Amino acid sequence: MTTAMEDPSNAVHLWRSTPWAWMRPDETESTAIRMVLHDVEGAASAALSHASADLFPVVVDGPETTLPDVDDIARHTLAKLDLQPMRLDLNGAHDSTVNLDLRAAGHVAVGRLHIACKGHAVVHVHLSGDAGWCGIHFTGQVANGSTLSVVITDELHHESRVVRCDDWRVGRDATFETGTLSVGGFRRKSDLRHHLDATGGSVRIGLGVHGQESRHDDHHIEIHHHAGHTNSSLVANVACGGRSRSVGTGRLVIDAGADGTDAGQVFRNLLLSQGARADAIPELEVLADDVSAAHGAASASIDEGQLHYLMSRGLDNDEAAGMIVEGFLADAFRPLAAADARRALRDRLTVHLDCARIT
Amino acid sequence: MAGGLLDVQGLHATVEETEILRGVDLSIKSGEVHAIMGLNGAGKSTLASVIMGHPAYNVTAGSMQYDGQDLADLEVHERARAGLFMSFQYPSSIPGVQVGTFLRKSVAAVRGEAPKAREFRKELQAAMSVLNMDRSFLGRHVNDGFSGGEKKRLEILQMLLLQPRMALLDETDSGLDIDALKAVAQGINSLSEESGVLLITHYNRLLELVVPDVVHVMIDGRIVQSGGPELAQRLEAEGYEWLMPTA
Repeated sequence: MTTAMEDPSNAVHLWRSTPWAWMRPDETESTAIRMVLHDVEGAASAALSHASADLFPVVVDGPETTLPDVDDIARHTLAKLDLQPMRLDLNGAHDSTVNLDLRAAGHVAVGRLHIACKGHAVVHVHLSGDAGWCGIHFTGQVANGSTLSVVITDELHHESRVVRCDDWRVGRDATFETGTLSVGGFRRKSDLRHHLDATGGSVRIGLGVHGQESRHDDHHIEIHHHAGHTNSSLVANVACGGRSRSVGTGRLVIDAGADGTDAGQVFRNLLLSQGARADAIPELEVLADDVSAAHGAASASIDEGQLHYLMSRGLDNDEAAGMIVEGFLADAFRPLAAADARRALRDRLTVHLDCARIT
Repeated sequence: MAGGLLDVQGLHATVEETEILRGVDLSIKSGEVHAIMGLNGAGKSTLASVIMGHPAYNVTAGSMQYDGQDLADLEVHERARAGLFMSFQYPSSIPGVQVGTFLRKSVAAVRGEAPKAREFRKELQAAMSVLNMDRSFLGRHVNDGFSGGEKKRLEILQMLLLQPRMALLDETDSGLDIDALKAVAQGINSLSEESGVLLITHYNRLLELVVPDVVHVMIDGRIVQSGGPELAQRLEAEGYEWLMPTA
């Protein structure tokens, strides 16, 4: 069996909008997600190899005797299903880029990847395939003084169900930035956790989500400031059309003593049809005294003024709306410092929208 | 009056049930530059917006003919493709959309085909040099974080690239310093001699650089006086008091 524990109830915050019953895999047999490393550019040294299970926060070892926390049920399930965790070791110089293709096939496809970064590197992860259910768990450690940019473009088959878990740890004076373009899959739950462990650490997160037809996309993003003089920013731009639904929850935790923290998160929803629905719930838990923490959320339909402006320049209604949506989603990635990362996300977005239905 | 490139007759328009235009008559021929002046709230910007087809306004009476076509039959983008252009007083910002991308798509839409990359680059360079604009503009997002002057320059840059047959310029001179005003005026003057221009302005200073053939005064939703460039000078000297209806 996948797990001995009962499904979390709807009262559990993490699973309130997207019950685990919707997301758990139907089968216990799984296929490993195929990971191929290619196009290592610049001065990066990159090696993909098997990883030990203890690089992941939930370890399944022998017969199950204790039940995991309900918040970790997805991690637990992935740990039980995945027998071949991988690790990517990066020793990068400035401007080095690594491309990693993840291909998910079969009824249930599972992969876990740990990324360890020393130096400076951009990793472009392209997730694709037609798996009926896809579970992926990223963990990572950004070493002291290092900078890691991770771009994730997800173009799984439109009928796939997707569970993604992330656990990133950021060291002293290190920077982790990540951009995710979520356009694939029929139903998705992402539980992304980031930990700033030491002074001077920085996390920047950009998320662009495009909902079409009846797509359901739920992103839960946590940022934990364990040390003072750390900073974080989260920008989540969600455009929903058709009868799609998006849920975005942001949990920002600033530990006691983490003074000098500067953190902000903003969720913006663009509703493209009457049937679309988007909820954004930013949350703060501030236990330190001297911090700057801001959060905001807004939902709106396409601005008539913008539409008229673009139409007055010759674009028809659909072209104008498409340009506004593209700009809106791309704008989520503006905080990312790595130009390569922004460009990769932008290019993928343009290709996606060329074939997508906007409203 | 009829027979111009743009003919407006007896135009009435409302916004949220408030009547703003109360019977505007205006005819602009190819190659003519007209200026409309007037107090705040007179309806000048509304007139330009209504001609361009802004959805917030309802035309309740009258007609607008452009190049023999009834504008009521044309969607906003069709008006643009037919050669109408409006420079906005407060152009919208479009975050995430780079100026270069926007210009290329706009030019492609109006011309009906995508311009060849090399030729477009040359065209762009020439137009930007008229307006003293730096190439870094192209990588910025449309009007996002732009100063007032930068917005106006971008509007005129679009006009130069789109080469409209009829340009409606709504307070394009407001907020510009002297150098920027000269650059914008040079841009307007470099439009084709066949193009019609309607300048909406509060000040004579632009009209010293772009000399109008006809100056109109709009008060309370109507054009109440028309004349040559000397009318603008008189307004500059005496204000609008002498044109106001007596109680």
